Amino acid sequence: MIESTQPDTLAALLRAAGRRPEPPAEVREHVLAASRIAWRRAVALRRRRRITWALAASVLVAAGGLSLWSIHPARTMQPIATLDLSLGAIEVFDSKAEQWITPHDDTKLLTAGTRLRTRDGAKVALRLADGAVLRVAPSTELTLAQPHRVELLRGTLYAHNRGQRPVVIATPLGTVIDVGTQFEVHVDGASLRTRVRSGSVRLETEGGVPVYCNAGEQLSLESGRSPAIAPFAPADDYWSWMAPLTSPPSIEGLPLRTFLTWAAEELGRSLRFATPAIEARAEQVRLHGSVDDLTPLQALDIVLAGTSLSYVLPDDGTMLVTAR
Amino acid sequence: METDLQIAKRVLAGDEAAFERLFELYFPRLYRFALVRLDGNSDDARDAVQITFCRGFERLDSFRGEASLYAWLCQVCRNAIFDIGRERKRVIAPRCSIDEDEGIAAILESLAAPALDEPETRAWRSELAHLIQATLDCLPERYGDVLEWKYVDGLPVKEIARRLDLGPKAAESLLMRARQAFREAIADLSGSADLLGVRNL
Repeated sequence: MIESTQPDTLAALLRAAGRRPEPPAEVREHVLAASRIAWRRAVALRRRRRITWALAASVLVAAGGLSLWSIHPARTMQPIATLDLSLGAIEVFDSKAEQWITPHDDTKLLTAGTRLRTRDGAKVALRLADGAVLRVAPSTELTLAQPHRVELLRGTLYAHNRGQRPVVIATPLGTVIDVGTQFEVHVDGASLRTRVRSGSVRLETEGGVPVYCNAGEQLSLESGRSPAIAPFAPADDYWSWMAPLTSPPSIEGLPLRTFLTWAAEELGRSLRFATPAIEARAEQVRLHGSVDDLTPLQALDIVLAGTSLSYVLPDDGTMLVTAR
Repeated sequence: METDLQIAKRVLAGDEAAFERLFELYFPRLYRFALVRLDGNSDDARDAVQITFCRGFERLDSFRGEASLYAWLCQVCRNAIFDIGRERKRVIAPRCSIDEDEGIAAILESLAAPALDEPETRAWRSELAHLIQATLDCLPERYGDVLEWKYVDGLPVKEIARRLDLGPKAAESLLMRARQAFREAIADLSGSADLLGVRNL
């Protein structure tokens, strides 16, 4: 038996050392929470890397585009969008086989004519050539028609355009044109709805007068009826559907103020500081590390945890930064 | 027994139980590893371990299983400690890993010396305690815990078996392997097992 033959020296050595000190419970909880977020992010990132893409030329060039390609091959093959992030199953249309296929290659570049659809529960973030961001909700089907023109056949598409050229979302019921803004377009059979978070959009319908929809409003259009405008809060919980598709900025060396501005914008809120001193503090602090792949709220929690500042989201549509 | 590489793969595959096991296994060890290198500053040690896990999970797919997962995490932790020192604009004296420190041999050699209650002796005992504890942390699996339970806490094998959800025979076998691993770790530190008589431990 080990117990009867154990050498005294080993026991004496271990007894002399004593028990190893246990870390405090609050430290364990703190590190565990942060580690769990980092782990989930790593797992999600790995899964995303595994989603592969096959966008053969035949898929990318619709029948009409094929003749164009024969005349202007360089222009047609130029990518007009990149795939930033996909969560869940998406499909592209293989025009040769005339069927939807699951992409299986690592291709991230999408050329004009790409038809794409998201399955139930799947979401995609795309970036147009000049930086405009498109976020595609589940059960959506669209065609990347031209560099700034997307044809939305069904489902929901959000656009955030910081570029000079307007993004045009064409639908069977009308065309929505942005005026430097964040907005969403939803199409469902015979109805169209656009919701604007900032700036404004213009809706053009065949034979109709253009109608403008501004930040904090939604515009609804039923086939054969006049458009109707109603309020819709930019900070409504509804917008959280696209939180997993956001791409936080690289924060290494970034002023905290810049990060807070980004977070507030993503949350559809205006940034406010409790005191001028807190605002000055946010200007001074430089961030380090990474918040890649976190949602805006997760990124806020992580970033502010390392500072003396905190935040609240009051009902007035602001994001208020306070002292901890 | 599951290898470190298999554990890493399960963690990366999103296995919650594997994540928790990895955390519970390595968090206390890494905390102690950082604490002793950060002059006992518990806030800095917490930050260092948090950075270690965050970076570790980001890079876990680069872990090839050639070194132990603990050794791999310790390297990540060393870098985090260095970064914290740079951030705080403090000079953190580099500490050698236990298998590099020549002073360790001297500490172990002095084991044979008579115990005197003098400041030097107390300092030596403190160093020895750190050394032994760090050695326990470096042992694979739960060997460190098993040895601590048995020889520091004085638990019977039956209780150790219960804690690990093992049968008594399996616990005895585990204890034997743990002792062997500890002997070998100490022998590696000393560079000469015969000199210190550790083969007779």
